Amino acid sequence: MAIAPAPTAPRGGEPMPDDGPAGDGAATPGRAVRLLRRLLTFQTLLVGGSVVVVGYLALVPLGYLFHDTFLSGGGFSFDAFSRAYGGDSQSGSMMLNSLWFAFGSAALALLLGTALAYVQVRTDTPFKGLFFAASLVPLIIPGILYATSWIFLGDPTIGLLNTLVFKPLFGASPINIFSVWGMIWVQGLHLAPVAFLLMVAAFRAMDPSLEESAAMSGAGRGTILWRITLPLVRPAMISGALLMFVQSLESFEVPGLLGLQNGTYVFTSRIYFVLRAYPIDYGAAGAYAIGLLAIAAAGVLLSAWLQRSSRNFQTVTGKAFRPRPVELGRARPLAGAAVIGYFLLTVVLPIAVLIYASLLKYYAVPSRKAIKTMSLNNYREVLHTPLAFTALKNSLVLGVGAATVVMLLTAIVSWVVLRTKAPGRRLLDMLAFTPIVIPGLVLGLALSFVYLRSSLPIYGTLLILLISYCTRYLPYGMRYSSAAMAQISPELEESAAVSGASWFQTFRRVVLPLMSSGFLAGWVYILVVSFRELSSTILLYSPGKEVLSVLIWEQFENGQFTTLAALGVCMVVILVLLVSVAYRLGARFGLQGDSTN
Amino acid sequence: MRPGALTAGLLAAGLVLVGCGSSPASSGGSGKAASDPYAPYASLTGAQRTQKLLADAKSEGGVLDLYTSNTDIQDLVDGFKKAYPGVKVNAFRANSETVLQRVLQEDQAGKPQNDVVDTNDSELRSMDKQHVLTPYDGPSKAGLRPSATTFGGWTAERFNAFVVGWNTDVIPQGQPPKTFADLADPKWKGKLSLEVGDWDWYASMHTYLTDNQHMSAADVDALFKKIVANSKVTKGHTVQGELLSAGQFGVALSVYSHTIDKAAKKGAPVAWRPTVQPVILRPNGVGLMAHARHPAAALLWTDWVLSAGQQAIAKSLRIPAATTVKGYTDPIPAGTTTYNVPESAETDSAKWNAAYDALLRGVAKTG
Repeated sequence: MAIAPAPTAPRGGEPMPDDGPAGDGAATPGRAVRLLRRLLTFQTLLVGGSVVVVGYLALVPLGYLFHDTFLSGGGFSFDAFSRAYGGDSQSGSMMLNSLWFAFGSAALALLLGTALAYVQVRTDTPFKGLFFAASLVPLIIPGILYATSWIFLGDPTIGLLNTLVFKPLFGASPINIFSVWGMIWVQGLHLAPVAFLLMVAAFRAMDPSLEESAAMSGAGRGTILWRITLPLVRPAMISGALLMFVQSLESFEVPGLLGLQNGTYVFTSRIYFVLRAYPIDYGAAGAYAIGLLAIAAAGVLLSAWLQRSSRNFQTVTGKAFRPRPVELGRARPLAGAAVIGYFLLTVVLPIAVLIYASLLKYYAVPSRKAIKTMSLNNYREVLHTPLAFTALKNSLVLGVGAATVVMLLTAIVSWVVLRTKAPGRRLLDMLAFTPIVIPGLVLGLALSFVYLRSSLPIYGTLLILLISYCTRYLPYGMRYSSAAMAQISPELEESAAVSGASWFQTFRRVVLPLMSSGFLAGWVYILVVSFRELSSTILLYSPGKEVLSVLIWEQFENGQFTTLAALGVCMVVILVLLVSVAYRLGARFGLQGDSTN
Repeated sequence: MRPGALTAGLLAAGLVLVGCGSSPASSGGSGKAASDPYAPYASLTGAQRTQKLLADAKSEGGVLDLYTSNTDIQDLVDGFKKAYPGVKVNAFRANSETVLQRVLQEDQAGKPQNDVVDTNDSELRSMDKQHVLTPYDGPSKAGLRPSATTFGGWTAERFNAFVVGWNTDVIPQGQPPKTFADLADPKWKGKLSLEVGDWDWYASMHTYLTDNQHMSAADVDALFKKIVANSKVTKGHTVQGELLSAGQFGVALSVYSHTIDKAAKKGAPVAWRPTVQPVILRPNGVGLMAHARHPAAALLWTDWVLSAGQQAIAKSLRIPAATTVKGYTDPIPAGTTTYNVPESAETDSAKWNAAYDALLRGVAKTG
């Protein structure tokens, strides 16, 4: 990536005063040289370069989107909006469905993720090892497989929960996954890891002395949790809620599989509708995306407003602290049971269905006949897919690359947004959030448009996929980074600067290590989800540059559901191994001794 | 951090973007009246043609770049490799909309990256309209059904058949639907399934009922409304096929015959015969790129796919375009009414897409 080429810069040299007075009275050439030198410092290049790269990544698809929406008819017009929202499109009621679905899913995911993170980081609960899997597995399973396995669990007639549990025990089939509640349930469980990863990082970076003072002053446990602990992790909660809300608004996997069967249409079914037609009405698709963009922008502004008194959340200060686990006492078995219950629901049940399906020739409700046909053939088929290893290698390169690039960029950019008074920093924050609402196909088109016309050899290489992933996951990186940054008090950076550290030294040796929990959480998130990115990948990859999601798509299109299940199981195994290695390495780099499991 | 740097940075990013946006020379490879790269082979036939094509394909680099949405392409690639080991096939696989977008984007930038395209009829028709294809006029054309060679810039190589399929455990023996109109009966309530994106199937069925069965448009609309009231809507043919096998519903109205046949081969309790008429046929075809980088390889591939390659197509349970394929029997029983996706489905695609969407959402009902 184009991070500042810095050979001319004095590397980590003299401390850089932020707003030194301009040299007065000097001769003009001398002044110009000094100004130039000051502009060419490593800090300016690095920070400026990051801002430019982030701005560029976000603006390319956004520019393409705006162009298609407002200028597609020749001149500037709002026609696309009336095509998109007018007539019998029912976009109003669909938007209401969407908002309800997104709000419910985000709330459920936030509640589950936060509770789980609190129990994991701050209590002496048993079974801490399970959290790791519970936080990752739902993230790894592609949405389409996760939703389908829930159909096989929660369908009123063939769902295993109904046929194997409720029917024999209670004589009724109460679970119906094809309802708004079912959609919220599946989406909420699928998203909870986003909240969990964010909140774990936030709880780790929390100074418990405030809670202790509250306890000394006679506050009960509930009061402390409600009045002290939760308000302190508000930046992370807001970030998580925002990400999950917008992501639920723009996703179509769960609503497509679960909502359509009972006639619940959501807003994104409109985008799907225009993108499947030919000729594709990109104007209308853009108009829908801009509708989502307005909601997302309002969300970013709201979150900035909610965090306006930044000092309140800065728990990582000059004072030493070590989060101490709360002793659960008699509640310990209860917490243990809750952990196991959650683990069963989010990991064991869906994975068990996938493993079961992966051993069959076609999906059938368990019976003696079905069990007789079980074999490992699907796994054999996965291993013999000609491109399996190329795809795995490319996915790894891209996942690790995108995660690293995005987290480094956003660490710097969130520093700009939170630490400086630079004009336009709010805009930058919002800009970096926009890719979340750009449909993958539009992102793909924008990138192929630009790089087919660029003389740089990027089109047809892995690099164009890397650019696409970096764009797509920019919003996530920003939220993870800024939530972590918001907890760090600037006094630490100030003391580093006073002690003579350069900006880069401070950033590298003070800021980054302090935000390492959040950094790692974001890194893991991006690594994992980039393995399943398809909507822009499918337009941009080239033969020989296949990735795993393309293979998954192919099995899916080909109707090989059981082979797909086997591929999903393999992906879970590979990524769990990979991420546990990352955590091992991360524990060395980050806050020492906080690895509680 | 200097406050100005941020603004300057964003400005720079904007400039880069504008720079990129203003540069496109959208002349496109298509507009130029370039010489026909396939002309040198036009008069050749038989072994002479094959030898010349093979020799030239090797001197072009021995590769063929293929864009395809055919999910059984590997069978063809393997077969081709066996026939011509000297030519390596690079296949870009994506859904048909993506294949179309990629071809058009590359064409507009004047950088076509493929030699041959293999995808669905509507996408091929769109490409043909943009003049990115060159009609195939080789010797293999003679062995094809007449309905495969009427498309101008491209040639049908196989047909997908939309059929009504059912689960034989859920629908008892002897009780599967007999006619399409049967499905409006309230006894099917909750047992049928439609796919959310199948507007081309809807367009074909609708046109067939009005044009061939001489029903009034209002009667057809009423029939469809009743059928929709009996139906669950799913997304994606794969999920639909899998849920049908699993018995989540009894009947799928617009599945591909090969999806059912493949599942039945594995032992799933699904069937589509005796057929509910008509069977809707949708051609999938092969097109030669007008600006191919490897024209000899492209012709070699097309010659092969439309002749010997038809066997691989039959083996993957698709319906070949050739009139006779050795050792192959047509999965569609003799005497079945078949109906090709009508031209109007393509020309009025926006209308049909919107009508099907409104039908499923029940908006058409209240109006």
